[in-house]
Amino acid sequence: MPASGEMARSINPTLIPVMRGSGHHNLNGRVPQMDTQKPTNAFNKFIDSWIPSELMEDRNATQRVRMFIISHTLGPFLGQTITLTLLLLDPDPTPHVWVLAGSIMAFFIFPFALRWGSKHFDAHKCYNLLALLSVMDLVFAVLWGSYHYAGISSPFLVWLLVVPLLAFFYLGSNRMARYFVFSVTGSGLIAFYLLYQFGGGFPDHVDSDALVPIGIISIICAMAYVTMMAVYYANVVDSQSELYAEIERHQSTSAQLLEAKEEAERANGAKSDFLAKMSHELRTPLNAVIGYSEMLLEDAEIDGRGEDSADLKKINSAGKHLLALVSEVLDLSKIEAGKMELYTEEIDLDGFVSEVASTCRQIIAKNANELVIQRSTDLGRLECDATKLRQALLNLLSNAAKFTENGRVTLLARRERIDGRDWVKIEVQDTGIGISPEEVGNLFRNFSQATPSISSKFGGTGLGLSLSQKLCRFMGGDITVESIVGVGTTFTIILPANSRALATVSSPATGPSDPVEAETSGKVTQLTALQPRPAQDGETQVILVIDPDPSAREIMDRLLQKEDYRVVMTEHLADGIDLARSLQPDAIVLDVATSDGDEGWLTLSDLHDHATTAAIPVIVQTIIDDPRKGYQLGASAYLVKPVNKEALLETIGQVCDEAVHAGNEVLVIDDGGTASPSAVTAIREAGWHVTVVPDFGIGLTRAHQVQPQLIIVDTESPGSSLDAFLDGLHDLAGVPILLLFAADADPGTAPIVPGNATTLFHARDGRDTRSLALKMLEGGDPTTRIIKKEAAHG
Amino acid sequence: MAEILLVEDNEMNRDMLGRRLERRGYSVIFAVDGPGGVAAAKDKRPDLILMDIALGDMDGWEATRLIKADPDTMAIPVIALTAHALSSDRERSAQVGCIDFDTKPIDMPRLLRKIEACLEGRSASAA
Repeated sequence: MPASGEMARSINPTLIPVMRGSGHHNLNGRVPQMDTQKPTNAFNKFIDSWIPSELMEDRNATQRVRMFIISHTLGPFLGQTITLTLLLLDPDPTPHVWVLAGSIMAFFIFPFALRWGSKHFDAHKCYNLLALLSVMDLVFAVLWGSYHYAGISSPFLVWLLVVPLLAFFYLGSNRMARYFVFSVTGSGLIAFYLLYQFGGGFPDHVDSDALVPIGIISIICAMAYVTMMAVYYANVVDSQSELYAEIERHQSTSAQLLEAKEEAERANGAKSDFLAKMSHELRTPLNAVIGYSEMLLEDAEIDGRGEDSADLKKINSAGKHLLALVSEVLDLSKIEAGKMELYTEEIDLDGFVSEVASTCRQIIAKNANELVIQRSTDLGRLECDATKLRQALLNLLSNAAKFTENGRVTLLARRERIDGRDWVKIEVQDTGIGISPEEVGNLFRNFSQATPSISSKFGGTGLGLSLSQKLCRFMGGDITVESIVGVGTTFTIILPANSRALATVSSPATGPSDPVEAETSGKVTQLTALQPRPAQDGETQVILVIDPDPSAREIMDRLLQKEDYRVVMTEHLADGIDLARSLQPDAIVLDVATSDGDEGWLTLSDLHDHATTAAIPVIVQTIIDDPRKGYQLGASAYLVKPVNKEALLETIGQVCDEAVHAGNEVLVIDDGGTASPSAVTAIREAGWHVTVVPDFGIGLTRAHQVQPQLIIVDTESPGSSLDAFLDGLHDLAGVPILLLFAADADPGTAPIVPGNATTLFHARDGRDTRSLALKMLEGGDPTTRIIKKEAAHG
Repeated sequence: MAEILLVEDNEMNRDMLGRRLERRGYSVIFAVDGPGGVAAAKDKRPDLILMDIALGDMDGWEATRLIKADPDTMAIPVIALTAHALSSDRERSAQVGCIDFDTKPIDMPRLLRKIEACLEGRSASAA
């Protein structure tokens, strides 16, 4: 977007108040991008040093205050040249010239007053008050000077026109500012007239001819001043139309990109279909090979046919090898297609190591190797995808076994704190043939083995290491290697011990290319924003902020930290996606307006489409006023910048709350009943997560899977489906059940209910349903098991 | 011993898995397509159904949905068997009411564990 860069340069920062004043709200969002340049010279730095920090938070305010400070430091110098001239011209300058000089000198006080006042009072209020006082002072100085020198025909009176210009620069053109400026100027003029009327005309300090030169200068200065402001305004109008053109260009690119994205998604969909089909087509015959050979093997072993059984073992193991290959290719394709998913669980690391060791003991013993296990006593628990970690670790162990003979394979596991974070390190050391430094470089590439001779001698696919490393990186960790030829090799798996508390980014694209140098500290991007978890009742919520604008990030950081959120920030969209996957934040705040055209929108839809991040609510906070597109692409909330703090915090609170309650499920089976809709709303409002399923069969399975806090069955009348459903729930005796029947249902047909069920023949409006359901959720046990609303009859 | 209904259209797989289950002492009945599976579930009321997903016209999802919609058969646990091993299958199997999910080729010890877990009335966690 080169045009926007040019615009940023062509627009003077001091224009900003005028832009705001002109009321084009859709342009406000551009402001942050244009004025993010740091003050470039000493003068700007000096000016900025006078601006109170509170006023620096709001960019529009900063611009106004900057203008205010500039006017008040330079303006008085210009003004005093006139008083000096008058002192020379006027034979009797006391006291009126001194009063004029005093009123002009007073402008110097304002920056000091602002600095002092904002320390003791609200900075914004203080600034507004000072700006009003300054306008009053200016009106006074102009009218005082004019009154004393030539009255209504004074060459100084023309400066009155500058008053509204300056005032609106300082204050913005809001209604209050307008009323104020016009009333101050108006009352000044009235005072001016009254003085003339009742003070015996205008004083005659200086001959009006003597005023001609200074009058000309004054008028030229006033003209120059007004011209400058008019030119500003013309520039703003120009750049405004440029902005509109830019926005239009942006929108058309965005439409094109969206189309391209849809096309790419179709292609990607075709690719995964292909993968799924290939997987099916290859696995089905393999299924038969492995299965039948296993059956025959069992038969042969029972019958004691040793030779057959040896052959069958070969068929079986070749089949399993082929299956492993198919799975590895499929896994790699999944990672490359972005379809790999994590199933994170908490495992007992000690138990896990024992289990893996017992699985691989046989393979290691094959080459007469000894397996040594060393583990620290504080292994504790690890949050990871156990299947993937097992896969990676077994791969390393079987490699070690393959390349070592009559040696030792050591499995070490320990916890380590690196830069204040807990990591788990699992090392596989062997005393095998080793890998030369040149070969190490290719080690983690697909289909690459250290040397071609290796594959002929040792077999293998060359996929295992590459896949293992990709799996570990996918889990936020890595695999590294150190080796000495002839001495042995050590592979190290490093993983974050707690994937939620410890966010890691590990991107193969940015990592060191040489795995030998791939030290963990270099691989793992630390997130400095992560604070230790405060001890609170509720878990501290993690908010991920993805915003290219550094000052916007800073403001978000300050705002959210204050509210006790843990904030993780990034400016890069790709990092944002990685972080979202590894960190699983409670909410994401995303600015979709990026310099790369549609990348922001693509990120939004990526987050929404990818299974590991689909459930994380995304709040879009941006200048682009297109909420429809945002919601279509999966946003949970859409806020157009500038966003006020309260709205943002409220939105974050809302989306986080929804996520927090996801564990507390209430299951509703809506079998054509009438009572549940209003109850569902009330239960949701009370903070429960409600799942409504349309039939008993699905409900039964769901009940077993999620073990809800309460099951509500809403049905017109009892029937055999309900009986079967209740029968199927007998093993969930701890879950309360609420059966809702229409008030006029025949009580005789009511099912034999289990002890944990309460039956309610509900009133038409369902109010009794709501209160009973909520009472049951709070743990209150109804006193009677069958409640019949007599009032509902008739 | 428990009775298992195996719904599987591939003859080899049906034969193999059936025989292997029978060796473990289960009594196995077969269906070769979706409608057959739904009918067999209603007629025979097996203790457990192993449902292949890649069936002909009526796939395993649809057959399971029908089984779960019928009050006579809704309580029978269904384990879905698919070759795809994608998580979308896992989600789908939960949606239609399968109690568990396993991938093909069959890992016999793992499948047996899941079968036993279901028959004991527990909901085995998806592996």
